[in-house]
Amino acid sequence: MFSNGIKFLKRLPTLTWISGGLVLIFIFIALFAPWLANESKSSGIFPLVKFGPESVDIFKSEFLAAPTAEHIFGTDYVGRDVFARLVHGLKNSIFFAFGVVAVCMIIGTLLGGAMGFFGGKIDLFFSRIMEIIGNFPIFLLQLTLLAFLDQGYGVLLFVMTLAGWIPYCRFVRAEFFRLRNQEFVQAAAALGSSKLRIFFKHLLPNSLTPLFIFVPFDLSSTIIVLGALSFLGFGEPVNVASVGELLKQAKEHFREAWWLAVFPGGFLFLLTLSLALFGSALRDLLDPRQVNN
Amino acid sequence: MQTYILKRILLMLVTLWGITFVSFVMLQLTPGSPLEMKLMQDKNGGLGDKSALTPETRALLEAQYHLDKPILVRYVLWLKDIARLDFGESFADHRPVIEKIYERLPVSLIFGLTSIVVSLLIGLPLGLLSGAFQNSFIDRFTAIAVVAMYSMPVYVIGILLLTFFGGGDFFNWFPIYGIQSDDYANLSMMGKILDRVHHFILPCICYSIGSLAFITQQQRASILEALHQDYIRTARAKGLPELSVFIKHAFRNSLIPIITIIGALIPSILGGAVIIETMFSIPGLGLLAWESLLQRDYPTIMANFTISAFLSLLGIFVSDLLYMIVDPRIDFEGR
Repeated sequence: MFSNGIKFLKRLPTLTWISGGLVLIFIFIALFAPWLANESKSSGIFPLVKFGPESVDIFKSEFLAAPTAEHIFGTDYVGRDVFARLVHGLKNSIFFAFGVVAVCMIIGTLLGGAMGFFGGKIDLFFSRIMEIIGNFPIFLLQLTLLAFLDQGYGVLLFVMTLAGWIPYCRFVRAEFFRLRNQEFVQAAAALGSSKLRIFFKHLLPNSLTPLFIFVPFDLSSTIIVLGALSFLGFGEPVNVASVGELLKQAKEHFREAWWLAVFPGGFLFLLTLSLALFGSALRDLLDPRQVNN
Repeated sequence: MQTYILKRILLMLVTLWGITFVSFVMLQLTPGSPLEMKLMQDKNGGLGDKSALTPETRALLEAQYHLDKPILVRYVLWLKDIARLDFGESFADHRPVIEKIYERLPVSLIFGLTSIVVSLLIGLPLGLLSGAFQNSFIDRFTAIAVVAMYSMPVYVIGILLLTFFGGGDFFNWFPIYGIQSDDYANLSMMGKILDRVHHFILPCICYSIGSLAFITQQQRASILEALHQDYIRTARAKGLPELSVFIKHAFRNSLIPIITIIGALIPSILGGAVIIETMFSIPGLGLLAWESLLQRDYPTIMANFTISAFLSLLGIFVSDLLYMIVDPRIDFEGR
């Protein structure tokens, strides 16, 4: 195991380090967005860039201005600083994606656990539901719901978790089915452990580790879908800074403002790419079969 | 085999029924009744606004669109209609919905099929090389390229292509609206083809990127799997040249799983269609879905759900069927 780890580190170290480092940088951006870009008026904060995501200087700001020393990524169509909006947009997507993935994981794990634990009719019923939702034209469904309901993070969370729990559920269900008849579970039952105890103390911890490999990939695809919804104008609330909204502007002004396309698009891609690469690295690290291959 | 196919078709119909039922009920429960939406759209048509409506007219209209009946009854009525492929009349322009679908479907189908062909043409050799020279430079490069293509949001590629090649500050190489030029009718035969291809390239890149990543990855896994089989060892043991082992034995067998995953690409292609077609103003199913959403055109929205779900299910069904035909070892009877 240890020598495998060494071998692995020798084989793919650069990529793992780079992707891990990039993920850390993005988490840093998310956590310290107010210190990176904020109006200098706020007390006690000395930000890197003296513009907030909403700040417009009516006397000085130019709309759709190319990058300068002052506005390093240029300005958008009302003269707001693109760097500030991008930083805060990335922060919003990252936090929201973590929320979505957490909710999907909890729902999927509990439901999948219940299906695998009880089997029978419960399993059959939810399997059919999973089949229907799994075959749904899900992006169309998300768009429709968002178009018809009021915009807001609550609705968005609901829409994004609608199908997101299914992979977790499917996986945990299979794990529970597999583990249910193993000796350590039977031993726990023979010792008189309650069903609840077997569920949470014996089955759940043993089926969770592989789930976490899936998290970086899920974060990446959640951020992509969130961006797509905002890009079409139905995602994050209108007044909130978001990467998708910047890209929507880029589409409307693609002849005049390349900086609206290049910086938000580039950083969004870097974020999703580093998450996915980090996920593959994590998978190789935790799955010994992959390393021996 | 017949029993299996029949069983699958029945299961498919049940799932399709479930999907239409859920989307129908969901659409009816969202705020804003279809009738009010319809009236708002008719405003310009001379019917006047909601307040000018007498209760009698309202009741008449409600009866015409079955809105006076409970949801479940409405659903059954709708189901009866679509059994005859009658998706009703569009709220937006009063044309039969099925006519609009017929108009738009070929455009999306052509883009979808071309993108699959393009991904096969590039993805198969790339996956093959990557698997044949495992852990080589090309393998690592492909691995990163696949992850990159997976992580690249389709709208980001689209916008970058628009910005760099759509006549902004950089290159003015490609047209960015629609599928043909304004003077299309006046062009010669060759000119017409070139014009179409010219309009085709940028959207097609967007359409292909996801399938390309998927096919490359699957082909690599598939050839690696094939290379570890007993018959490869046998072929080598009897002294066949490596190239012949690779092409005649490994490559041919590695194609089996690839054939079956093509159908699985349909859902993601349909999902991307909304974004790509709105971005490049391509009059396909995706743009129709988008327009009907903005106009709250309920019959068209329902038709879109039904057709998308049907195509996706059909793709998976055809995949399984192909799998069975290509590989006689697979026995479905027991399932």
